[in-house]
Amino acid sequence: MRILLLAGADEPATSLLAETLREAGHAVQLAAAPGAAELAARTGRVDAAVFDAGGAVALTELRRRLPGVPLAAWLREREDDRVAELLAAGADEVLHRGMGVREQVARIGALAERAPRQQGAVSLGGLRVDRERGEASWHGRRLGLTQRERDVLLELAAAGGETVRREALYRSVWGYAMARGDRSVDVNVKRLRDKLAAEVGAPLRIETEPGVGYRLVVAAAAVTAL
Amino acid sequence: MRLALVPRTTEFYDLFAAAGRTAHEAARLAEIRFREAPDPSVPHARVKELETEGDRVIRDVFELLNTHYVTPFDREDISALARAVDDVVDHVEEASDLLDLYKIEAPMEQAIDQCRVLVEASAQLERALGSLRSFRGVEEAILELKRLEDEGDRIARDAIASLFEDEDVSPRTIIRWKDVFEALERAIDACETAGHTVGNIVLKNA
Repeated sequence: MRILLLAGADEPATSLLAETLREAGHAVQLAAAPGAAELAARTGRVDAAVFDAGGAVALTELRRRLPGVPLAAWLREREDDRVAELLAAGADEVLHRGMGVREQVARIGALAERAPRQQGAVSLGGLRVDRERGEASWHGRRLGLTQRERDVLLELAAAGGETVRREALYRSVWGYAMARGDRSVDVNVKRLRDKLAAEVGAPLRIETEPGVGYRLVVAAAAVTAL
Repeated sequence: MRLALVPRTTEFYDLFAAAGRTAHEAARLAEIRFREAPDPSVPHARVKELETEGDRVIRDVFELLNTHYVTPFDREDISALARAVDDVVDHVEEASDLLDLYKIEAPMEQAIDQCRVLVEASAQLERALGSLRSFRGVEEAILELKRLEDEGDRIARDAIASLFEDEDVSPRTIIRWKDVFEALERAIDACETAGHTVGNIVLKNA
């Protein structure tokens, strides 16, 4: 599971938690601010995020930036009212100092396990990719894509035009680490690119960042048309 | 009835030259299949056909061995070489088959690199087998085969290591590609083994 850990004011507690999560077999990404959280989520799938509820990051802000990602709040001290408040505000789990580290890791692991594997649907300009319904469309017209191609398109669309690294794309779509030399991403992007060129043309295309990855480009006219 | 005082040894040379061409062609087609995976312009059936063709040539060699008293080289050398060349095509066919059998979704760069070495090695083997009559250029071909086998070895080791660099690589990816890398490595090794057998013949007869 991929866990996003938002570093709060309490650095030692965060790094201990990160260490224990890694030992439990999770991939841990550390980020410092909501903007970084968004960026981290864009460069790969996140199964759960933990944030310091005493820090500057607001739950509502995180909810908006990480749609569909289960959130666990971390408290420096256990306070009955605050726990209830956070749960009422939409936190999926509340952890606090004094709770055993193994319990915290088990709770985060369970949270990540329950999470939907990927974000459900993404829209960008005239493009809409809906994972649940297995559909991708351009201005309402359905695109004939395979599931793999749709998943790749969804990840590129979710990045909103930013370049997605090959490794991150592989991680999100295939759910595993990419072996060095594996051309799966390139093969699928090529097919997707060919199909988009045939079905949509210039307004929606995939650009290559040599040696890095790919980004989706939606023509400005196509965006404002919505 | 006419007695053949001079044995028709040219047929042996022709058959080995044909076997070399078949091995080279099979390697060339396998390379295209790996490079163009998962939708190669060459179906596995064409590689399979070459394997069958290779088997036929080798059968002809053994038939000649059984019906001729006089052979251009020692009988055991001829049969060892026939088997060694047959092994090349068999291993190439096996690797090519894995692409379909394992439903491989995309190539890996290391396998494409192995195929490049395999095509070069099989070309050198073709050259060596085509020169059995005169032995001209055979030594260079054998040295080149040895060099290519070393290069193939390095690529294969690095390829297998790449599967284990990250703990989180899919077990399916590891199983698939480890088998493929090993099959391609066996095909390259088989070229060198056949080259070595040619070398023995040269030493005895030159």
